[in-house]
Amino acid sequence: MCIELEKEPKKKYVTSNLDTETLVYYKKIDRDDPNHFVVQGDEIAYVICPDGQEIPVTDPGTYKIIVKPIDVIWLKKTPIDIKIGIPKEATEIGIGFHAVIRLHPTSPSLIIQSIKRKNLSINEVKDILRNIARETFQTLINNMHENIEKYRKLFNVKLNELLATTNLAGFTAVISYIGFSYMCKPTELLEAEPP
Amino acid sequence: MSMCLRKTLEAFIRHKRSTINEWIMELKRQALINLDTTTANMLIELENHIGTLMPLKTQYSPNEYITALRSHALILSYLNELLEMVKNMLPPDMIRDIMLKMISLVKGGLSLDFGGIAIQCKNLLQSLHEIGNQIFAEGTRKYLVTIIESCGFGELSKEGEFLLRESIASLIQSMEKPYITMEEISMKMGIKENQTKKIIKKLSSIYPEILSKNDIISTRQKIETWIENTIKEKVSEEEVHKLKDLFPEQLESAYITNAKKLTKMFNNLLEGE
Repeated sequence: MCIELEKEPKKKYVTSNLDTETLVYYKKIDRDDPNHFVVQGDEIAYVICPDGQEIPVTDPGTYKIIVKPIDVIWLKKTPIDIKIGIPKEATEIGIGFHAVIRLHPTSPSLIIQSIKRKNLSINEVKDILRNIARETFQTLINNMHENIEKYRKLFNVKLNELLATTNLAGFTAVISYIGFSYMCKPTELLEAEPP
Repeated sequence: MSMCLRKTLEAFIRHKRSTINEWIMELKRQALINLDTTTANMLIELENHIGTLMPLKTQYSPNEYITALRSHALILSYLNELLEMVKNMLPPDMIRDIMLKMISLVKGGLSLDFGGIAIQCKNLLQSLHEIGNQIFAEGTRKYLVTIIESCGFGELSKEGEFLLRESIASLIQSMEKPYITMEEISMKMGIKENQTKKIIKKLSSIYPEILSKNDIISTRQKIETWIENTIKEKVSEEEVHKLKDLFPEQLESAYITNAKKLTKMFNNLLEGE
């Protein structure tokens, strides 16, 4: 073990810079850095010791670093909502769609393995989700006539299949909402700003 | 208060919580993919409960804190085995119910009743029949072995010693032959052989029903059941009933004669004739 739980908070410590634009934050804590790091209540951290041992840190608190340097990866425990839109020009049948996808971190160890030692921004997540949502839509074109709830379930299963093959393996997606361009009301079209 | 015991139990609790949470997350993942929000929410609730399974040092005196650690570690050991063995066999709500009942056993001051917790867990798990007994046996074994291997047999509480005796007795009971060897106990329990020898010596001095000589261990109960089973295996129930209906008096007389013969045979065997 290259870290241990500290009983009292310390003045100098390293903390995650997880903000609204970052989903996973990575930092190498070197010899010149403080000897402590902090894990907040809504975070999980993964520590990689100099001997390669991986330690999941699920309890919030201040941790003392016994052997340096160590790699620390922080990620939010709480799910995050991502809105994506696919224009009708991007699909084969001229129908666009938009969706609200809730991403749950369900396998932190897999997330760490997939992302490796770097940060993951919301923009990168959006790009990946947009690509796999479009692919899912194309695969399920023949199911579009089905009841929307049934379609949403099918969409969710397929989306998660594709998600597992990306850098976001370790997260589970839940489609909170999906709407197609042909569902737009004329009033909404009139209110929409011109491109 | 032993520093080794405190550190071992705290590490054991952290490790088990982390493993249990990974399993819960896997179940949650399946529920989320199928948009089953009821199950997902139920699992989130369970995850939060598991997160609280570590006694607060400030709530207890030093000795009480160790007892609370022991109780939490034992409960987590059972929860871990429960998930490992039945997570794909039983519906999640049934697993959750048993888990919540077990978690409630260590809430607040209840965690100081270690013996009571072990008994109640056994009763709860028995509702799952054979698999429940396996969960209890394996959960107990892992808890005991962690303490014995890290800090020694002396760090077990009185209740822990009792649990160890029960584990060894059920091991002996599960054997086909009427005894078990020291090496077999060592392998099945996961404890080093020299440590096992010390444990058996101590246990047989506290509990006379454990019989030990020359690396062979047994119990009176095991010897009795072994003899009973050996005789039963050779007797056809149907034929005995037929004989009872046809010749009841002769059967009774034959039974008495044979019981005498059997006693004589055992005496001869024991005297080496």
